[in-house]
Amino acid sequence: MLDVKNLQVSFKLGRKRLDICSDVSFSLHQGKVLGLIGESGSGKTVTCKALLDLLPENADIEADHLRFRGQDLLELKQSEFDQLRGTEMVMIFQDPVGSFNPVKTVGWHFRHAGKRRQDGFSSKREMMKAAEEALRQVEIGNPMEALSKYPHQLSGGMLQRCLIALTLFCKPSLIIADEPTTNLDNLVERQIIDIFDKLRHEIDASFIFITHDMVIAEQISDEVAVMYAGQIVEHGNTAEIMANPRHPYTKALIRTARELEGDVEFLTEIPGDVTSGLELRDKCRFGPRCPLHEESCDSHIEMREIEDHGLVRCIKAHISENQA
Amino acid sequence: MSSILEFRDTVVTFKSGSGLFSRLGGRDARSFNAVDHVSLNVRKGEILGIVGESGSGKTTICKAALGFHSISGGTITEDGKPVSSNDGSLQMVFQDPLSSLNPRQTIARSLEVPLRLSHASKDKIDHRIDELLGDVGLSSQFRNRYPHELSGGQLQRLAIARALATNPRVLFADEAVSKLDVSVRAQVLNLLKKLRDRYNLTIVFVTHDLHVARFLCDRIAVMYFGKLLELGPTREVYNNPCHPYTTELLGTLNKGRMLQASTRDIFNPLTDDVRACRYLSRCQHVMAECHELHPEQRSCGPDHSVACYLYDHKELVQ
Repeated sequence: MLDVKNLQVSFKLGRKRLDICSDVSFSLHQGKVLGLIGESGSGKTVTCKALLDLLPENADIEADHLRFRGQDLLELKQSEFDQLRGTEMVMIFQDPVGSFNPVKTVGWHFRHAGKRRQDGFSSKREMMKAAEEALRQVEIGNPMEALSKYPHQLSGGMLQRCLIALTLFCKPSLIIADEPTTNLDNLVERQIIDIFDKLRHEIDASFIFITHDMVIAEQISDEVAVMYAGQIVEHGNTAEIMANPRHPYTKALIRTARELEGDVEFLTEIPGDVTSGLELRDKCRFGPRCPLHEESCDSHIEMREIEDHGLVRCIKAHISENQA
Repeated sequence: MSSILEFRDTVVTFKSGSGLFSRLGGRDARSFNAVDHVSLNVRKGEILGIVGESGSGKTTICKAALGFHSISGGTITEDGKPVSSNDGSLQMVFQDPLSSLNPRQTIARSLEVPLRLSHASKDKIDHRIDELLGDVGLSSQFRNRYPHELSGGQLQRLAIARALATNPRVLFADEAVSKLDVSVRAQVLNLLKKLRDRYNLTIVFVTHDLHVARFLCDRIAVMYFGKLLELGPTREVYNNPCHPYTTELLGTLNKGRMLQASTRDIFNPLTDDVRACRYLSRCQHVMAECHELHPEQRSCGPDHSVACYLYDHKELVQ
């Protein structure tokens, strides 16, 4: 359905060029959920915005191909892309308040989106019925009331649910959700995650779910891709990676998440921080923080396939857990 | 353990619509108690976690102790004396380290400002800066850098160092790790725990992350719309939550259980009755007295108290 091959994104800043993502490749099948995990600055949002052509002017996107349902997105004209974005491919942003027009009602947003929907509606009544249906899907008890409200009259969780309903209403085949729960409280976060979990079984769209939380990714995704400093470092089946991570960075992330759930005196730290990896173009970017680092790591490292597991960008990935 | 900071019946009120334009427009002033008659003691050397959703008043109560908000009822005392906000014995670390530092001051200069309050000599201050940086695990190379040159984790360490500069007795950390990346979060959490052990520091840790609270805190206070609902030792609260809200909140940690999306309205401070129990509209166990008055704190276990009428009727508690 979606096939990304060798995507590179860089920003021009004056005379300098800043590489944000390099060598990002993944493919996503119909109806599957990909969890894209990474810290801030790892390039996960930039990757997704590149797919939707939402990056600012100074961004430079290069790729072997970005194929979406057989079309190469890079070859599309601007007008053709505009047709696709918001109907076939949609994105849910982190901040629900900023995604709505504050002086228009929620219903207005649905009417606006409805005009763009490709199959169209024969009547206004039919459109509103579809809107109510979408709101019911995200467990809003009284859709008529929600449609008549202005964004400031709804709570953050309600608004995020309305936004999800709005994207469902467009009947897209690809939904990208960029940390949709980060700004929300625990209880609301849990509700939203449960709604996503339910939706992915109910509707036939593919999801890319961006998060930095391993626990959330584990619950709702079929496969996960872990990003670090602009590269995907591990990609494979969720259950397999959670149980048996191969890349040292993934291992550390999962260990910390597990330790917080259990009872420990001190947490295991990863020394240093992500900025140490950004300048290392042709070396292992996790190198400066890696416990297994040695000289042979300082060369260009390709993703390598590990049987029954997935792709890992580490030359020591074959070393099993007890040896490491 | 002796208590170091005590909130007794503390009230912080926010008013809306009391400004000139509202009065000219003939609108009524409305007020809301962001912290509503909260009694809480902080013990020496402990890490007290305050958990709750946004709007529960957990930050407000900390800011009230530091004098950022004036209290409109009750008392806040430090060792029996009313808190004074200018002696540096209470310090706060904020959520966003970048905006709490002056972008045009070097790291050394940022740390120097609070140190000069002690009127120490220049050499001593210089020495102390290195000591503080060492305490939070930063090398003295950072002295001449500017905040924008540091990463989020380093900035948060710096913010902690600056809070420690005045040798505080109580450190308030307001969501100090929620803006940090997962891989550096562990570093800062461990740091806070180590600092507590090294200096016998008392820490009040405000968070909405229940995993973090369980890892770091000795005792947990659960707040909901200005009210303290439950207070007890961490292990006790997590294993044996007494208030229905705590049970609901901790239920989010249980991955297996699907949470019923709550279609019931949450408490609305401007329209709902503020005398009744705050949790009334979401509670499953509503009784007649719940509509009358918000319950007082009552004991429900060793060192464990809860504000809920359920504990007057022992037979109802499973």
